[in-house]
Amino acid sequence: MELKLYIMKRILLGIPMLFILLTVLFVILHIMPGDPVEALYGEKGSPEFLEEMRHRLGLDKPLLNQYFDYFSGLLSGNLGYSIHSGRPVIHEIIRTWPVTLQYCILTTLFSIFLGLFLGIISALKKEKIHDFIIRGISLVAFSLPAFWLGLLLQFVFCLRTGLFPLGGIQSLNLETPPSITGVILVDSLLTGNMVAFVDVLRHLVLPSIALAAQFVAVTCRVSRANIVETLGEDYITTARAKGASETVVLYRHALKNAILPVMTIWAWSFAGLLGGSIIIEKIFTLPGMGSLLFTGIMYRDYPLIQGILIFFAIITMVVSVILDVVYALLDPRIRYS
Amino acid sequence: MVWNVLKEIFSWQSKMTLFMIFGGLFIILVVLLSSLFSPFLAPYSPVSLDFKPLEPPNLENLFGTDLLGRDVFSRVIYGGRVSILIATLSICMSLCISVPLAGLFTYIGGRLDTLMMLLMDSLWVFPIYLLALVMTLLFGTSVVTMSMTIGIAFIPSVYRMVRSLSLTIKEQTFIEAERSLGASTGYIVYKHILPYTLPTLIVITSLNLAQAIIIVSSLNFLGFGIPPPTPDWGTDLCIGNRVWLGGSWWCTFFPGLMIFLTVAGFNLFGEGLDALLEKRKKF
Repeated sequence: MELKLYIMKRILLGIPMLFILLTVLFVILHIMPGDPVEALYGEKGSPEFLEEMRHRLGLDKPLLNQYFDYFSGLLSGNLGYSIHSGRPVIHEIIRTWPVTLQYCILTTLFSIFLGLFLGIISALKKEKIHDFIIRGISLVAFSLPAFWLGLLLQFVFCLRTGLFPLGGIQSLNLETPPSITGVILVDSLLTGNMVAFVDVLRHLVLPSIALAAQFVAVTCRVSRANIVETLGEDYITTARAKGASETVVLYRHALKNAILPVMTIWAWSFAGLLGGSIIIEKIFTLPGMGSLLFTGIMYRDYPLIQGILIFFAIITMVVSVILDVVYALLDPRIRYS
Repeated sequence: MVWNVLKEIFSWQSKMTLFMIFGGLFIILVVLLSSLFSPFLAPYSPVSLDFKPLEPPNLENLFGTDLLGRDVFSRVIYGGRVSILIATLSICMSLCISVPLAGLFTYIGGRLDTLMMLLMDSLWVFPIYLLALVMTLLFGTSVVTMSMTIGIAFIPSVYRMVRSLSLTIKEQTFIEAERSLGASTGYIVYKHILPYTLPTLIVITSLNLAQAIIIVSSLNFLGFGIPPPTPDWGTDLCIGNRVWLGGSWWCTFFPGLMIFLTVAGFNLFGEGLDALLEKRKKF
């Protein structure tokens, strides 16, 4: 019951947060110099034509009216139309979202498994040589700019050795499996099309690694700190005194508690991934949300930018609420009031 | 007791910590000084087209030449100036705004504190990176606007950090004693709460500087930052990217290496200091 109340509270608190955020965004986007009509048609259009376009897009109305129009649209689930392509923003997002989702999930998997693995070893061998080596590696990984790493990987694995394709989401001659969920990796598995699955996976490995480096480092550091802290707790000493083997102490007692705070990092990193996508998608020419945001900014496409940012915000909030709930289910000590 | 402390100080683990701090400082100093004195250190002009384009590294051009025939080594030496300037300015700005505000509002507490936290949380939903990216792309790219937007993006994280630290010290008895002696809010915040956050702030600032340099370089790499003739690591990476696939690796490799080294320097310093602080707490 408590938990249900807490979830309700979290969701209700999320609404004013979204509202503030959208208002800030609206103000920022509308007080800055330059407008979409100019960016789109520039010198090509006559002043009358530009004026008419502005009228048609509602940009000549007072700012307050635009604000109300925008919010009433939002409340009815309408994110507006992209000024650049003329299509509904929601369609554009649905079109590009699966690509980004696929490598974001791959990246998260990389960072969870590798990061946790390194974190555990580092914590168990605390202050020993293993620990320093792992911390050194994670420091290097944390300092590598994703774009440089991406370019290096591209150079070594695509140009020199040809192990992986240079870019794109799939080979040109590949037959795309029928769309069921929109996510090609899942669709190809569902239809049993292993060729397509492997092909798409090969295209996504390098972008995922380039993005993952930082998050592996963060996961490693946080999990190390938590495991070290947990191993110093009294109940661990009790478990050891009762004769439990080190393996049992680690996996049954320590890890369970130590892993919980790491999960909040994953929620945060998931949002970070979406942010990093804009550069990775440029390097590996992936047609995902990062590229969409890039075009949106190039053409000062307010509805598109706003739509994508709202989408980011909602996803991040949903993920963090879900994680909070999982947190509460796994850890009976947590009482939400 | 004394023996234990001495043993701790001279153990190789402590030496590693010191090595991290001084190693980091060394890298930071080298990069800062070479950027500051680049006119004296660079063998050639970073902007004049003196050489054959796309020469691989040789004795005359240590890091080769780029697409337009400029010396990559000279450009790398000049390239840190703008990025480091913007990163430093933006971090200073975020500190100047968020630290006093966080200290004050947390101490006062109540509705104002809740409201500020709500605002910060709304911004926190976005990763720093995305926020800085979108705002810089929208506001234009002079040094001042770039530092401002990136600075704003860092405010929520610093605010939250200072707030959580202030919360722990706010309830201590000596603060209450000060208050009963008639100390004003401003005095308590300035004299007790902010100094308490200082060590952690230094660590966070070092790590944030590293992050800011990555953000500035990413913006420049995307082609939305400093316009091309000015030498800059990110911009050079972007230009080098065009010949990257042709096999001219040196145009991209060296500017990227410099970004990596600078960022690693700040991270090393921050991490080392963090480890030192943790050790100090134990004694």
